Amino acid sequence: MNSSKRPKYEAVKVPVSDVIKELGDPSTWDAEDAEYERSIRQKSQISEIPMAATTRELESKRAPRSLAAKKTRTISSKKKG
Amino acid sequence: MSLSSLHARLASDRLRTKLRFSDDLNEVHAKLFAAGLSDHDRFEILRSWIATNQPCLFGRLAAKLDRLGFCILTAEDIERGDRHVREKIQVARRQWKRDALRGKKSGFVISVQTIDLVSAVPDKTMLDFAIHLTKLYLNAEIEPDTVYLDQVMHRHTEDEALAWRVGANFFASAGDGRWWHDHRFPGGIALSMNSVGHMVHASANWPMDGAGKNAPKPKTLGEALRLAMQTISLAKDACSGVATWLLERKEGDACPHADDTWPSGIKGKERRNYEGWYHTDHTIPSPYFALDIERPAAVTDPHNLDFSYLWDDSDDNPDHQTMGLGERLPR
Repeated sequence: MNSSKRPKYEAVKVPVSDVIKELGDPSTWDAEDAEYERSIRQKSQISEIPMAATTRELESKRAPRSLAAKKTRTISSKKKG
Repeated sequence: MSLSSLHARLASDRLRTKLRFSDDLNEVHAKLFAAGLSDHDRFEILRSWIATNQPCLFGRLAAKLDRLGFCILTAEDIERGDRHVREKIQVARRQWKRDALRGKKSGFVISVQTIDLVSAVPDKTMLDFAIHLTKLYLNAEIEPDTVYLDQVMHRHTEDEALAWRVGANFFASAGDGRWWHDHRFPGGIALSMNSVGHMVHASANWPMDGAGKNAPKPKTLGEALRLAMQTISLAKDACSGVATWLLERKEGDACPHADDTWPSGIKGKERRNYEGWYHTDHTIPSPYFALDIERPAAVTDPHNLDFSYLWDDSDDNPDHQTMGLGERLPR
């Protein structure tokens, strides 16, 4: 049987100065919240599979490694020749 | 070696030609890798999956109630280098901790979403990738089979806060269909952080309406114990059987919580310990990183694992204070 108990963690009291040191001055949080919210809602134009992906493709072959090397796949009803 | 270098060395999982991804993962993957998505969009896709498919009931609840902070890393982020990845993680980590202090969020998910990671075999390169990612998150040297902890706080009064240790756990798409199926995750790989103690404390002020109105909110650590045991009882009967399991109760486990009304799957079960083929507290369990689908032959000795941090307040169990009740911090 492997060792059962979690490691014993020592209780550590952290002074308020350390809390602020870690998380910053609360008076700036509202403005930084808004900036953070904007950043996570910024749309990316890059995709790994430009058209709707299916994992069947992932299972059978690996995608190109370099984003720069990727080409957008287009669907056309025209047949060659 | 950088995250980008490790990413470039990932090898394709040849077993995926016969070991198909589950339908729920296929559905998420079909949405995740499209153009025009923001990080928020990507996490909303994940959040919907977590709320219904994550075996961890605490994770499901936090997802349903939108109480998870997140950091999304794409192939583009990885290409920009370790400094960029570290900064992006640290900004999201600080935002999560600020939100946790204010009771807005509880858990935290770092999700690395690339096709190469989805299709990669869980080998030494993926292990090194996971170690490097965790290093960029915790700013520490990282080794497998070790418990790594972050810390999260919640404002208690005007003058003090409570702080809890937060476990960090590795998940990956590669787990889907393997013996560690319960640690599968869409999109590639992920680190998931949650503190049961913080959730119990912070959720006292969470409105339980909308999608979470029927969710089993843990108002006390006793109810959290029930959820923790239910999570273990829901372990998937995967290719090598369940990976974690409850034990029949021995007399005198000394747990103060009555289980008369608990579901039959956990009633009468041992409330101090459970067992598993991997250690559920280890951030990156090394046995995951093997080519085979089934549990490695070398894994023959189950881990004896612990629930007592949720209820045993005896002096020789400080985990109850640091992981369950929380420590008071002067403000």
